[in-house]
Amino acid sequence: MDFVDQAPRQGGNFVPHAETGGEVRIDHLTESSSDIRLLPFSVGDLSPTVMPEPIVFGGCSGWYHPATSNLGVILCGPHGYEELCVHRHWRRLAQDLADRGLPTLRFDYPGTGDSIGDDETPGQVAAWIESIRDAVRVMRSMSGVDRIALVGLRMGAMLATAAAEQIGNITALVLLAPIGSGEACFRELRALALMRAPARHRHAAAVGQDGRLEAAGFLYTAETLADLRALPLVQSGRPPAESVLLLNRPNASINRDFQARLHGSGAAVEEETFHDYPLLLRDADVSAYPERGFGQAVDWLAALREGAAPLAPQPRSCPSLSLPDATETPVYFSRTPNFFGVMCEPHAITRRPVLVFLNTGANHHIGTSRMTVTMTRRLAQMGFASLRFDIGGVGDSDALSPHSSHHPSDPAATADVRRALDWLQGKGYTHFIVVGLCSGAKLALETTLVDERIVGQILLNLQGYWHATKPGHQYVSRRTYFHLARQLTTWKRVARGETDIWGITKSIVTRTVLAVSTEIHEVWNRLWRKGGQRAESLAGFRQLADRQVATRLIYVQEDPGLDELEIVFGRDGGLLATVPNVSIALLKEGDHIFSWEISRRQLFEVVEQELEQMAPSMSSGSAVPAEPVLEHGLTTS
Amino acid sequence: MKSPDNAILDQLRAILGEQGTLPGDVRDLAPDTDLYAAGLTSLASVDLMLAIEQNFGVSFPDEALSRRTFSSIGSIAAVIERLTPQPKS
Repeated sequence: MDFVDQAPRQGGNFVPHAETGGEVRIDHLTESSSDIRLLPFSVGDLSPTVMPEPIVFGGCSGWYHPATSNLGVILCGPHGYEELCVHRHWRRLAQDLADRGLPTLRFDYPGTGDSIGDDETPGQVAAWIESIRDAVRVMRSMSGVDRIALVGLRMGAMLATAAAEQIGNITALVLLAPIGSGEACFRELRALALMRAPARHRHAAAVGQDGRLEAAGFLYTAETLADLRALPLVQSGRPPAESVLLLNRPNASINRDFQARLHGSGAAVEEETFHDYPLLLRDADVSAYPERGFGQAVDWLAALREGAAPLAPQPRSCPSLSLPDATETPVYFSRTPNFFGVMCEPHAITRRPVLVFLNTGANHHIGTSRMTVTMTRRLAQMGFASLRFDIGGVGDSDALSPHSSHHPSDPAATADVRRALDWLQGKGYTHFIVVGLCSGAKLALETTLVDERIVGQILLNLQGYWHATKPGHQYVSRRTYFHLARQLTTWKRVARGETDIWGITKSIVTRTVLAVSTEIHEVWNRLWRKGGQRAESLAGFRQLADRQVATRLIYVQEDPGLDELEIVFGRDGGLLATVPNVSIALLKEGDHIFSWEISRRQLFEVVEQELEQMAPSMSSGSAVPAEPVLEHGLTTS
Repeated sequence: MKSPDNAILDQLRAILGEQGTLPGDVRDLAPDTDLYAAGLTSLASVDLMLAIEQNFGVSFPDEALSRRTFSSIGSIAAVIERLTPQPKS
């Protein structure tokens, strides 16, 4: 692995480049090439605080939080849906550790996050453990430390324990809300899958005949499940680390065998309760940083510091991941505040607009079910470059103010998207297509209305634009209920008490009343030649059509966002579909966030077809896209 | 339908109180209060399941692992009663 200096550093902080006077910085260097791009960079942009650096190693993407003491910390995060929930707080934990002088590295396991691979890559569990070994090597190289601590959360605690036993000579191990056995891990995944699935999707939440399990948008193959269940923990006969801090969940007891083996291993084990753990493991929108529990871990590790790192840090590169069809570069495209994204550039550069993927709720840039990563890589095969990034306060980007809503439904977030477009424009790209799901679709539409650089938008399950939505509600579109009402299995579920028939009826009535009252309002507005929501919305879309902006709305049939559309624009959004350059597609399969693999696959195919029609391939050979050629909408024009 | 056992309901309220997942006081939680509307998430419902199994010495079968079961303490109590061996009269 080559490391080439990204920027001159001193005492863990960025400093202006002595030779260039801070005018440029090296911003891009692949592991395999010496391609260096120099981008404008102002000294005034440098923050006085220690800032994380994106890194890659062994196909993994991560962040190094520099510090100078002789104890390097590797964060081993949870997996799957839990990682989505805690990502933002995991980042802050890394920063808190670095602020206490502990160089810290956090990263995505192979097949997860921004790393190479996917859920179906063979040998996952072994690769996850090997990646922790790699992270230790990288930490030693980047920081010069000779003492290592591993910090694991949930499944990450299992993997950290297994890795510690294999690596040996680990100074400290912090196990946060550990799952004490592979069997327990399997049971929790299975329970999560079943408890998230509405009754009509329960068949998909069970372990299939092929032995695969889909839990909250993440796929576990039969091999992965078998390897997890067989993972040996503290069975090597030697201590996994000199010292172990065990912070147990307050609401479920630790696996007694695991606990006994840890205490009997010869390690100095301290055991406490992770009191505020329930605040952490919640959906990303409501998850909170556990000040007490993470604070305990930081204090405990800080007490183990022993002077400065004895070895000189090795030079290193600003990294890129080399994929079969593209190069991905994790980048902070702003440093005041930190704004993070991943640029995915196909090897075969075509003159197409750049796709810009927006956050869904408070989930970071990989997207729910990691589908943004999958989509960007598939689209790179079609020649589309893309940026997936975090708006302020979400994922790896800083909040602009303490009042940030940390949510793309905040109208102020349009400024964040435009900041990303400015950066892309600085790289030579001129035209953009924005893509968003749910609140991300709302943000995409709001930004498109005010930014003429956007030539297309793909709005997936748009919600909350025409009517406020209730977060967390489980109701689906009225047409889905009417469809289900014609099925005998539905009434059997009702008879068994498995269906909330009263809540569903109430939701249907409420929405029907809203649809009728909206229609009456619209008739009234027409009579008196007044505006109104429908007229104003149509005028907005007509303005976009005049700008030659292509709009593609894609809904799954059961999505309540479809009701929102139909309440304003009639059946199938027919009135909106009369606007040039607007098309509306309905998908049969899937839930609001495309939790099931089959629905994601269907979505990817539709998005690819739509993009082919929106931006047909033009002559290649230039990194700077030419004017896009846009076709009119599928159902209109 | 038979009313849920008050002792089970009280124990469930105590578990939810220890979990700290739901905002507000859970001591007066009604048997039919919608826990999801009150703030229960799917991840927290897994923790709740583990805590119940530990406290009551039961094991939830797959068919009982559903949003419906965990939608109220009344419905959870009904499942616990089904899973708990009844003393012979």
